[in-house]
Amino acid sequence: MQVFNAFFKIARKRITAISIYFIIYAVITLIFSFTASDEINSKFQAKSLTISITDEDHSTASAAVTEYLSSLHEISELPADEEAISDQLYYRTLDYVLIIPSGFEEKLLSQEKENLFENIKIPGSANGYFVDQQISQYTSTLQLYLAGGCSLDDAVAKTNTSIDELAPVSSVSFHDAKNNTSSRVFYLYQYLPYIFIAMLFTGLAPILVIFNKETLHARMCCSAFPLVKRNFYLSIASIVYSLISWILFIIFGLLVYGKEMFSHLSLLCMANSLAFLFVAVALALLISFFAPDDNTVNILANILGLSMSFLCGVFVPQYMLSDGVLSVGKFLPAYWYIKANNMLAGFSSDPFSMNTYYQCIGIQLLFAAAIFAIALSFSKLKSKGR
Amino acid sequence: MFIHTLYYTLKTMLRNKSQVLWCLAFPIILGTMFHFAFGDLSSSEQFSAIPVAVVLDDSKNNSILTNILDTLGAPGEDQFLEITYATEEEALSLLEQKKITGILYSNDTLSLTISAEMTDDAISQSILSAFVEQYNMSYAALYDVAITHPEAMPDVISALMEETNYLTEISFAKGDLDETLTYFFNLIAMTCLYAAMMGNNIAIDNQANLSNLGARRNVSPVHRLITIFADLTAALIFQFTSVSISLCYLHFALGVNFGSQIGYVLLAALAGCLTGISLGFFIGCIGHLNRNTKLGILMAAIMICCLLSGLMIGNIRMYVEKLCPALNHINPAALISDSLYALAVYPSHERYFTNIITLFILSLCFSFGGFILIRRKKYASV
Repeated sequence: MQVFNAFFKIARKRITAISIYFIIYAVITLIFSFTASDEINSKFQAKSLTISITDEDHSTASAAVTEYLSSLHEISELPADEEAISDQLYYRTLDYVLIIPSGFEEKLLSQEKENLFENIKIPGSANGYFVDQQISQYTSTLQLYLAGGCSLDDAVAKTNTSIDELAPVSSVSFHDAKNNTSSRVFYLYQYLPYIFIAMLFTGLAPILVIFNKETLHARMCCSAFPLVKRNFYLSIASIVYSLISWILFIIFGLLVYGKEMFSHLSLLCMANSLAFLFVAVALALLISFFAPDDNTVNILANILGLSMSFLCGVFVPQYMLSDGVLSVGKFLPAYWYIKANNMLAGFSSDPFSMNTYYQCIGIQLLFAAAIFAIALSFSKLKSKGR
Repeated sequence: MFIHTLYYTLKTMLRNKSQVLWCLAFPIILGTMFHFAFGDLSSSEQFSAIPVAVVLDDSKNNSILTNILDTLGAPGEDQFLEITYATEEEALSLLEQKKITGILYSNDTLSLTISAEMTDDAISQSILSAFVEQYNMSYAALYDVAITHPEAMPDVISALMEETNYLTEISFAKGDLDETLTYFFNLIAMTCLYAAMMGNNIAIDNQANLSNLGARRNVSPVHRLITIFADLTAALIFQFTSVSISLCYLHFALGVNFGSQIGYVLLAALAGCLTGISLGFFIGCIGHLNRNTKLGILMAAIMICCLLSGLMIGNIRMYVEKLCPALNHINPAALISDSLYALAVYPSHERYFTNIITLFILSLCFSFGGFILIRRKKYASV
């Protein structure tokens, strides 16, 4: 019990640093979940992009095209210069720039089919293709009516009617309706692997590092207190410490999201995050044998936290990663955490199944056990080494 | 005395093996991870054929529709759809397993059904629905013309058959639009700012009430400005060397495209390191909190800076630009990564130099502020 108490005595001494880390990671989680887009809707809506339109023709036809596109997309001001345009395209805050050159209406009326518009987009992107398609579709329908002998005004009116009369896209939902959790809650969980690793490495690992300091470790080794017991109490203390952090995080989630935290799917996510918590504790225990001081612990936290996050799809969605990366990711616990979370949130193409869920949790727990075992054998080796 | 202190501080830094190892390992390991994780990232944005199931109404003549669909589904470079003809039940089960993006039903018009649980591929669903709309709109136009102006029918059909190419793409060829570069730029920014740890140590090792080394140094007759200046220079040399090595690794071994102006890239790294060290020094000089608490504050500040400049979410910078543009002009991480970005994308150096000069001003403020805080301090007893 002395080891356990000593652990928390040290923790109390470092409480300022620990709370700073906790608060900072809570803030980061909040920023993450709020910047993440809220795209989950049970009702399908054609994706709305941000586009900007420059109308140099100022004619009935160009006004019709502009109006049609504004009904589908968010129109933003054209950035002032090329620099600003390429900035916004680079950061994907602007998807498409359409220029309607003067002479557009004449070309339209004379049934020309080429070079009616100019556009700027990210080369080859699906978003650009999508807007292209909508513009072509609208223009070609206009031209069909014009070819059929309608006047321009008639053609615009009829095209607009035919758009209004389009049957809505129907969407089917395969699991039952209790899933009405807002995607923000899932984004809270989405980033937890990074947060847990960073938080436990910076808060918990330095305490463990003190126990592994050479002189202190040597003194403990030559005491009557067996190594197994020391490690046992240290592990228990670490787990208690991390459970406290976990509970605080859940309370934090409750404050932000309220009741949504207790929806069925959110509870499943919570259990998933608990499984990953054990992995993070085990990792913190393991690195405490390598890291000599706080500076190194901080660097290690980011090396492990960030690289695992990027390889396993925490920051960049898994479906965007290449197969090669994902097959490496499978050897990392965060991959399984994210797989389960994506499945619950519907972010991935995995169909929902409880078996997959249990499998993911099981694999994470196995990882935790394996890392614990390695950490403990390291401690054994270290004490034998002298 | 300056040279003497510089030499010994450098020597102590190099003797701290784990510090050397991890300072170098941090950008190299993470850079390698980024390189592999993002290797294929840009290609996922590219368009590829969309898998659909088609459910035909057997009571009608579907030959026109199937003709069109088969053309669109013909394998090749321009393949638009990947078509499976199926019954309704089969189609639904394919949709549930997320094997297809949508189901096309042919009735009087074409209609589309998608899955509410597939949110990862909104753009394919949108493209598909645009296709269905196009089909229905053309159908409606033909129908309308056939009733109102039957004589114009041949013209309309020929207009429909004609290939269209309405749009001309303008491209800014000089810029590299690879979004993943942001992550590498921010990695360099973070590595530079990590120099703050050394700055913090220097501040503490020069204050008698915070460390034994500080106490010993304070009784020596050397002017405090000289020791501190020498220490900071040593830290700058150390950190700049380590950042340069990792930059070389990223550029030459991994082929990350930092542009061709290596000299300017190094200048940005130097400005970044300087800002990092002086930031750490400044925080280290405030109050008498212990080393680890100050480190905590520093790390928190650096994490937030890097987060807001796009280390984790690539395009967060633009959100900041919308909500609070001033932040992007004082956030050191954003300034460092933006200088690198400006170098890679723009032909002129105006934006680059604005960033670099801001970084130098920031470092000047931090180091000056730090020095003001600890100068002329006297200790009655330590």
